[in-house]
Amino acid sequence: MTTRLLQTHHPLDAEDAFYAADGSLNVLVADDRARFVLRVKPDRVDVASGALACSLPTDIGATASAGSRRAYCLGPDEWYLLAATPEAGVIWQSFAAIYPTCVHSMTDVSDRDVGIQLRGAGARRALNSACPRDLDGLDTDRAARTVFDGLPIVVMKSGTESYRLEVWRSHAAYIWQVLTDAARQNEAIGDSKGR
Amino acid sequence: MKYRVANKGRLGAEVGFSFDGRSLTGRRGDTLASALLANGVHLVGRSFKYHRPRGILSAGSEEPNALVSIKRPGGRSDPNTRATVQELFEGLVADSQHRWPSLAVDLNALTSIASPFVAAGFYYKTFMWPRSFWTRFYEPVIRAAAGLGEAPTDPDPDTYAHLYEHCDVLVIGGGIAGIAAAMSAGASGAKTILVDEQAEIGGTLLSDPSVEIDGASCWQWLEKAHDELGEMDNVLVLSRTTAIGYYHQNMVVMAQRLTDHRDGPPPKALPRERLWHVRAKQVVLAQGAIERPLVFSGNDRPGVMLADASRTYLNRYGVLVGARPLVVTNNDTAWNAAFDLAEAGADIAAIVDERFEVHPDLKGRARTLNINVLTGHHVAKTEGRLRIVAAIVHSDQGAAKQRIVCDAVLMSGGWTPSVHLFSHTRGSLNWNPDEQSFLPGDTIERCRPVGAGNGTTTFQGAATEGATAGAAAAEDAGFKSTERAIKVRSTSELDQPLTVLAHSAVPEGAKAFIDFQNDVTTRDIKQAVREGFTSIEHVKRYTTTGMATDQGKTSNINGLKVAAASIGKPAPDIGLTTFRPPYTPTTFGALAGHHKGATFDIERRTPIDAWAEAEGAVYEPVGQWRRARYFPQGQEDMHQAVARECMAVRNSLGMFDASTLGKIEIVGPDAAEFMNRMYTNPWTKLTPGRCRYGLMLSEDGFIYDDGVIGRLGPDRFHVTTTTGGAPRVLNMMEDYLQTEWSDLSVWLTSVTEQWAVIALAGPRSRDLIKPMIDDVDLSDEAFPHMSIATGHILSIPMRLFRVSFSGERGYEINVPARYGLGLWKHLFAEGQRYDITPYGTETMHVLRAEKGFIIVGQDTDGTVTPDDAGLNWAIGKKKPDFVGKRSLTRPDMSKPDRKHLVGLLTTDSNEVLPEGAQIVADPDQQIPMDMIGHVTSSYWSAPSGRSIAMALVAGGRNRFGETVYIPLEGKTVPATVTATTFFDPDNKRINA
Repeated sequence: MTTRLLQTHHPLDAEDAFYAADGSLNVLVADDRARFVLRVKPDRVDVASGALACSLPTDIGATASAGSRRAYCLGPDEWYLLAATPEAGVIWQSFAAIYPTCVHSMTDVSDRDVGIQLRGAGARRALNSACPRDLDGLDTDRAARTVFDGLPIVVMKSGTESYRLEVWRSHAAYIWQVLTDAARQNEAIGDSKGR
Repeated sequence: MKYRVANKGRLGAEVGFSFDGRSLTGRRGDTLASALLANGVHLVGRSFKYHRPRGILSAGSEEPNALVSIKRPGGRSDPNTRATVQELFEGLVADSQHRWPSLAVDLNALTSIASPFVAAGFYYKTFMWPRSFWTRFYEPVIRAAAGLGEAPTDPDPDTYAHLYEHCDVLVIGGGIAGIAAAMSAGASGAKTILVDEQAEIGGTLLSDPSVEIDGASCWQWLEKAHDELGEMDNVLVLSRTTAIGYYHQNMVVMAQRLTDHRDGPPPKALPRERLWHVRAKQVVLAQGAIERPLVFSGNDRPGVMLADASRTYLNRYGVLVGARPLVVTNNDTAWNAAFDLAEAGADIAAIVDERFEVHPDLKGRARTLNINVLTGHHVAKTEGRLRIVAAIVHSDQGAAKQRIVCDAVLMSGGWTPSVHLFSHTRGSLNWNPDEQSFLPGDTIERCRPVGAGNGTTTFQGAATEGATAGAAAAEDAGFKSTERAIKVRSTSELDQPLTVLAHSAVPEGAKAFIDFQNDVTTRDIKQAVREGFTSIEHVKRYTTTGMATDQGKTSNINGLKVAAASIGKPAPDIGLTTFRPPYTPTTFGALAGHHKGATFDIERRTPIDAWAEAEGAVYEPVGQWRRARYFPQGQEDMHQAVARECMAVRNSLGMFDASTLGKIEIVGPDAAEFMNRMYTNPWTKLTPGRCRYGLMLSEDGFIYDDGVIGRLGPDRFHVTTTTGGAPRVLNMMEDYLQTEWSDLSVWLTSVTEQWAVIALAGPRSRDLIKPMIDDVDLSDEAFPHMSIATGHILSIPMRLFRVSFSGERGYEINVPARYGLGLWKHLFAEGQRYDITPYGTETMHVLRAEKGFIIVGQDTDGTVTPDDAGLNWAIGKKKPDFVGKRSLTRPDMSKPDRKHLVGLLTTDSNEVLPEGAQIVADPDQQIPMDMIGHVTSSYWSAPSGRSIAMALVAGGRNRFGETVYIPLEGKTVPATVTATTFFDPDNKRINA
């Protein structure tokens, strides 16, 4: 009995990466990550930071990272954590260890969400086809919980032309379709880069 | 193109098009209207009510008359396109509408003869009797005769795009004021968007090349302005883009047209339109003004046109709209049209000005051009059938009349500032008696009206006002303002503030039109007032003035003035009707965007969905999800498939994809206390490793949701909700937690999609999984019904529930979603030895109904209490409180005649009742009968060999054994009231 027995599946298995012919945009399935939602009281953030070995930012939208671990502050007491998949067990255990002195909500959502990566000058407009957020106004290395066509997403900005979306598994195929359709339309209109 | 004037206009190469089957030529840069006029075609349509011949009234988006059907390449067609905004392209096919058999001979025009009977309120008063005639006769006849254009029948081949955009300054309107505003805002460094509905920016400047700006001719300056804006990286200029609505907090919606002007079918990926939602920090409204018609009898004949439109046709499109036009006005601006047309070779029949006093410069210029001027005169009526041939002009002093032969009448009744978008902001409007119009007042939005739309009618005034507003807007958006000064030198005598005669003569005639599109005359409005409609909103609805696609752009002020005069109050006291978005007609496609076909709406699929699809599952939508309803084999229908699936579960083993169940992880030291407050059940004593059925009420005490909840540890619960209820349950929980119980140390995380859930049901379920699990003891002693454990299946981490929604031994295996499909396939393959049978939601429903388990939303409807549903056992009686507890103590909630959920067994066991059927106690009562309840669930139960049903029946639990009746189409079905458990009432099979 081993996990090798069972195949894993990704909701975007059937999709090809999208490359705009004019080079303005690539849409890719993002690298898999271990994912956690962490809620912890503001006065215990230090303890939680210690468990993660990464200082949790307390400014909503801010990001911090240490090694493969990234923490995105999405609410006054809420963080979205990403890490290399092999680290999932260690992170889980270190948070279990602090629970007696630092109660928290650590919940594994590694399979709840999937990531979509957008790179290129056309990324912003493709996203803004259905996301009402001012993404030019979002600074690099910041994240925002927002919506895409009314569906909840987290947008993480890692550069002026680089975004990662975290979307719910069953929303992924639809979001992918709407996003890449919009990218094709923007390319045909000829203003995918914004002007 | 015999009316084309050489060396005039902004036109390119020749293009061919057709109108009503006639091949014609026009030029690039033409609108359909200008191309038709160049060919001498004025008659383009028939009016809505009276089928009167109609021509082209305007040169812009305000056009009420010239609505045509356009055919574009690739099977595309649109009715009701305004010929004045449709850009000409090679191969354009246009057809007039609303006429039969032809535009020139329209038999429906006979309505004209009967027109006194088709007056205001006609629809409300006529056709009332006999009543049965309405649906069979009146409505079909009216519908056939009325209606504008025909909706296309083929699917729309186009796609539509959408974009959210943010900017510092949004400038709406690309005339001189708007350009000035955009230049200043752009020079100040603000991210600026300038939009204009036309094919190019310029506005009135495109129609008046005589103006000099910054030392250049106006059209040269426009090119420079375009370049200057284009060179600024922070400025975006959007032409062919109409701002259609202004919503809260500076959200402006704009429709950008991308293909309607192109030759040939558009490239596949190119959308036809793009809808923009722009959130602007500051808005500058520079929408200009719309010329008003004058009101006289026969002011609607083809050839009667707004004076400034004739000037646009001449200067921008190189078209002389008539050889002998008569100019009729109550203000200065129409004189300009007379002068320009005269200089282009027209023989101006006369200038008829209602005013007695006119500026001597104007009279002097008229004299120079040999134009006959009649001040203190007005037009009483016109003559002509398909085109105007003469006007009867009266003197306002004495009775002098004269008949003036003409082939066009160019009229100006003043100008109406376009305050539509400003009004969308709930901005107040102030009456300006000089201009006889409403001007923008105060608004709560961050916007600045400028230019003619703000009553500033000179070019220099508009340019300065625009530049100042653009700079100020940039400053308010956080930039250091730089005003880009613009110097205008107008050669026209008329570039001065506008004054409009307050009271124009309004004749009594029945054919003096106020609203051309709705065929509303002065008589209709006066009649409405006579009949007691004194509010302008009522006058609008009674007469239909200001309705339809032009939304009263040319008619509102005239209608208001006639109504005000009739009521005997000043115009500002009467006010205007509400301006509603969209500003101009907008395609459904633009509004729908990508919401059609595969991207109409999200359809959520489970990790196992692909397998079900390959197996030929029949689906049903449940909330946003699609779920396999049943798995037909061979030629099976649903009845046969469900019967087979049910028997398989009861006899051996079934498998079911339960991944869509809502799941919420509730963690924290106060998790149990939170559960105590949210759910009716007690949770404190539930030990880790055990599950409990949870019942949730809303505050009103009615059943809201339910599900099985497992306690994973002292501080961690795994909550399941109904599939459709997941989002609202989580929202309600968060709502209570954040607003009422912020003292609790507990957190909620949605994990619906973290877990794929495979439900195994049937006597062989344990046999199947036992060899795959070695870290959970599956014996009934160690892992009894209503247990939960974490462990591994095939080395994959899992949360294993032992629960049953079928009454059979059952397990729900939760695995990380990526493994869902792999595990399903493995279980299906291994399960073959037990004849494992995949089943869908229909079988799941039947199996639970056999056991009397409710489905929230099917057996409950928001008015069902726990007691009504027989779920009092799920209430923790000793708990101090839970959501809904207090409401349950209301006297109403315990009345004996409340509707109880009961079972129904039809006397004829083969009769399957329709769900929703009403129930009566006595079928022989008079109609309307006293209905005592309705059927909520009803199925054929293969294991029972008969039909079963659940129903909400008044006092139902006191009726056990009684016969009730279900009246159906053509028959009445008797049924016996029973308990809701139809199968295995002693729950022996749970450990079978």
